[in-house]
Amino acid sequence: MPFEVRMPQLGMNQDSATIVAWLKNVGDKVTEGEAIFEVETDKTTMEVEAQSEGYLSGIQVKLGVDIPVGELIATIVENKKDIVKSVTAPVLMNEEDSKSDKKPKDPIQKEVVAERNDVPKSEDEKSSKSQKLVSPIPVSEKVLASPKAKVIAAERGIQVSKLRSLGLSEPIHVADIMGLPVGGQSNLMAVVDDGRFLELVEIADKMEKNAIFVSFLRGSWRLLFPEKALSVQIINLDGSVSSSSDAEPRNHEPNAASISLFNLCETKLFSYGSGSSGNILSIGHHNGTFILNFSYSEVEIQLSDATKLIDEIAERVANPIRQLL
Amino acid sequence: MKEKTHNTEFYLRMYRQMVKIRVFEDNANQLYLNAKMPGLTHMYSGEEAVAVGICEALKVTDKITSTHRGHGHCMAKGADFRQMFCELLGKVKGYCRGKGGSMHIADQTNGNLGANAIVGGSMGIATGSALRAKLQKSNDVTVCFFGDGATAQGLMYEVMNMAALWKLPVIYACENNGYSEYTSTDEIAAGEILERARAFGIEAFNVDGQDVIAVNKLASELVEKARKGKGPFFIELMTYRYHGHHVGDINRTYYRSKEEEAEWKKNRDPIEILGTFLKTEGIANDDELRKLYLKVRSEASEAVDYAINAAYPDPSEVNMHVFQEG
Amino acid sequence: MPEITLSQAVNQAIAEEMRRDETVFLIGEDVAEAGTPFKVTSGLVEEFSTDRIIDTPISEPGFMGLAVGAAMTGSRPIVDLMFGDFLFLVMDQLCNQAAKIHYMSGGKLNVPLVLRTNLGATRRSAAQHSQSLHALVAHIPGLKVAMPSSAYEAKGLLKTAIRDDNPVVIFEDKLMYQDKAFVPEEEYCLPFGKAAILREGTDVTLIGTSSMRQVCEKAALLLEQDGISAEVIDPRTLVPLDENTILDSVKKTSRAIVVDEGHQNFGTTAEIAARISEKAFYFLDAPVVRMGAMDVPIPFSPVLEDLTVPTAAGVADNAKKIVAGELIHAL
Repeated sequence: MPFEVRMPQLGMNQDSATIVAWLKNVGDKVTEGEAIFEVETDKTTMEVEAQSEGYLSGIQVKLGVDIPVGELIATIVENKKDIVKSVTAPVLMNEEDSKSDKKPKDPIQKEVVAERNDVPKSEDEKSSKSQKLVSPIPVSEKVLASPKAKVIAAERGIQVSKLRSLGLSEPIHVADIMGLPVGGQSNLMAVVDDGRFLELVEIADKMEKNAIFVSFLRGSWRLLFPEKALSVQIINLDGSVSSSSDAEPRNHEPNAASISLFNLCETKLFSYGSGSSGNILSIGHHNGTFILNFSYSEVEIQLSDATKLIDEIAERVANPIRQLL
Repeated sequence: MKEKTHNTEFYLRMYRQMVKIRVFEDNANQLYLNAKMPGLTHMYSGEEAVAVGICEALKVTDKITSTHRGHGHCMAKGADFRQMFCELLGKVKGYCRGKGGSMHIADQTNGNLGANAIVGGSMGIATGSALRAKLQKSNDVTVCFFGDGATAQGLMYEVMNMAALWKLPVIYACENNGYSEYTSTDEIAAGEILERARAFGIEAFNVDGQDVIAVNKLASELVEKARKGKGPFFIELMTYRYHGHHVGDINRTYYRSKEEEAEWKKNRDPIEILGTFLKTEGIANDDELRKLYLKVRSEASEAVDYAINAAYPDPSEVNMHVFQEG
Repeated sequence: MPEITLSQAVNQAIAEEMRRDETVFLIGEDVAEAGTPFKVTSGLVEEFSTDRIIDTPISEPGFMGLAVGAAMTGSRPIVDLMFGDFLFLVMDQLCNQAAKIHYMSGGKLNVPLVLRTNLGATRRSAAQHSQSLHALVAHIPGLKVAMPSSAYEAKGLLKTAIRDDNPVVIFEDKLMYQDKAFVPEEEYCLPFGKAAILREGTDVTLIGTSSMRQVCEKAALLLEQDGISAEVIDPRTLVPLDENTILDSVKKTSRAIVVDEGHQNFGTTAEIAARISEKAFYFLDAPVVRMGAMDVPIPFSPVLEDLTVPTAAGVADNAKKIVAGELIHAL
């Protein structure tokens, strides 16, 4: 088995060298430790010794050419009959290439298929798999959003805390906010005859009217959106807000939509629209009609849902029998 | 160079310097005991002849490095009472604008490269100063003061090796006061201290550290040789510190007997020893020496008052001097 | 403009400064005839003699201390510390002495020295010759820290370091000594505290120190193919740190990844990430991601060693995730 003579690594930062002189020729006997050629690195000239005994054979590099570390230069064969004449190998590399910026070649490096995992290690390996969290059960009470998303939401009049009811996956990013309609209130108005209502609820005082309206509201909602929770508040004339009388136990349902009822029937006012966010249904009484004004946030309640809802409530005000069905 | 033999002025000067150190330390100790001084400090009392004997052999352009027990070196190299007291009290008129304190006191204009809180920490600095002197051919000598405890630090051997290799103008002055903090020297230093220097081919000498004239004579010879490029040298000065390791080290009979302390104070006091010499030689009498002492004491008192009333640095100075700007 | 290697750039900087100022000298192990094992200082001893190119015994604390003393008294030493890992040996002289002397003396003494050392793994040199310890010294008030990322920065920053009147620690990447870059023939210095924007972008800011700058540049190219526009910043110096350039960039892109070869825990990436989170909080649309070397001693086996340092593919991966709004850590 011929012993391979390769270009050795002669210095820390050296990745190639030039053979400047052969001290032995092809066919010469060499002993272990005998110098067989001279190389020049960046600054020094050094002798390279034979690592095996035998006959120098098959030199396949040129003098004066830069040869990378590890490259095959010649062989040392045991038997004279195996000697191969010098083969002038194709020039191993160009002059330019040999001076190029290559890191010290590590023969092992090429074979390594390193499984790179650059995800910063966290304590819980399993859950650190990247994911966008889409969860009906919120991870925290607060709606999670990036700082910039919150800033933009605030600029657009969108209440981040309401965003969960829209079904946005958390954490909410800027792109999610940009996809929402710009905040601000929308308005729907309905006008119905008061006849049948007054017949049925003759001389009901304001308090009971509130209860009736609330039940119309809840009934309509339940009919149209049985999956979604609703919490109802009452706005009083003095501006205070109270919870509706038939408060459901899960009023603090985080996903619940929220609608406030503003009963203006005992006043000369018949409509209230709010400039700030929030959903307010005001009901006024004028000239034989009930006027329903729904001021709502398109971010929280879509237009199609709002129209269905108000239409249904208006229908019930016009025909209270409907509520019992 | 001054003619030292029969130079009465010179002897009186050395006497005065030693008294100044003793008085300074007495005052510093009082400031601590009266809770007027922040932090701790380390008293040099008893070792005065070491600092004075050596520093009197130096020019103002020669350098010294000091230790945590550095008031003596600082004073002996030319510092004044006021700025020293101010530094100990953290006042802005201190040598370091109050930012160094007792353990880092430095007096750059007088060539004091600073006290050092790290034991042996200034050996590299002293040797480096000597390297610079050699490179720049500036003819000055650096003296490195350190204690017997510092001979346990590896750095000492590294720098002595290089100093010897390159013949640097540095003198290593080992103040052997018999104790390394609370442990006696023979329990922390194997073999002979002088042999450590000799191992590097450095000439090493032993001298009685309480005899300021002997210290000064030896130091002067070695400084001149070093200046001519014949250094480095090593001196071991046998001396004693009267106080504890630091001002709070009051109950110390567990490592040092009161008898031993009394013996040194009575029979080996450097100021007494020089005083006796001055009297014998007819250079001064008891009265004059006493007057000198009282004068120094009153200068010191005035300086203490000055320092107590002096201003602290402005808070804005806390951010200053991290880097040299410009 | 010629292209020269980082090694040549360092050599030129030292030679130019030594010609300019005769108080500058170089001290370290094998710096003279041998030119250091990395051959960076080869040839200097011929011009400046062994008076100014000083070989020392293997005494790191010793010659570091010597440099401090020489610097305090009028010289301007350049200390060559053969491997960054040896920083631990010189810490007392560097951090207790050099860093603090100006302050402790109330501004009266100063220490104009440069400590030149290196960093960088994947050289198969194992745990005690592969560390990147710049965070340790950046933590100490009184030391300036420079991180050249190519031959161009190496020359400019080193010249500035030598002219600076304060102790400066400058880290060269030991795997980059043969890497070339365009370096002006005319004299130039690069200021400390001024980061470089190597590539402008809009979707994410990649901040890379030293060789991680090239990693970030490659990552930016990969990201471009996925339609993501990355901005690449090289801080150049950690102390002083050019915060403003970094913050302005993150405010523009709303996302940042900090890449460094020091260990991830308690290091450079943490400091820069913290400053971004603190000062650009309301502009962030994603958490700031740290990518440092793994918190393990560097292993010898190449298969393992290569896993421990950030790569361009890894940076690009993380960038894609945060641009898409995906989580890297669970909520």
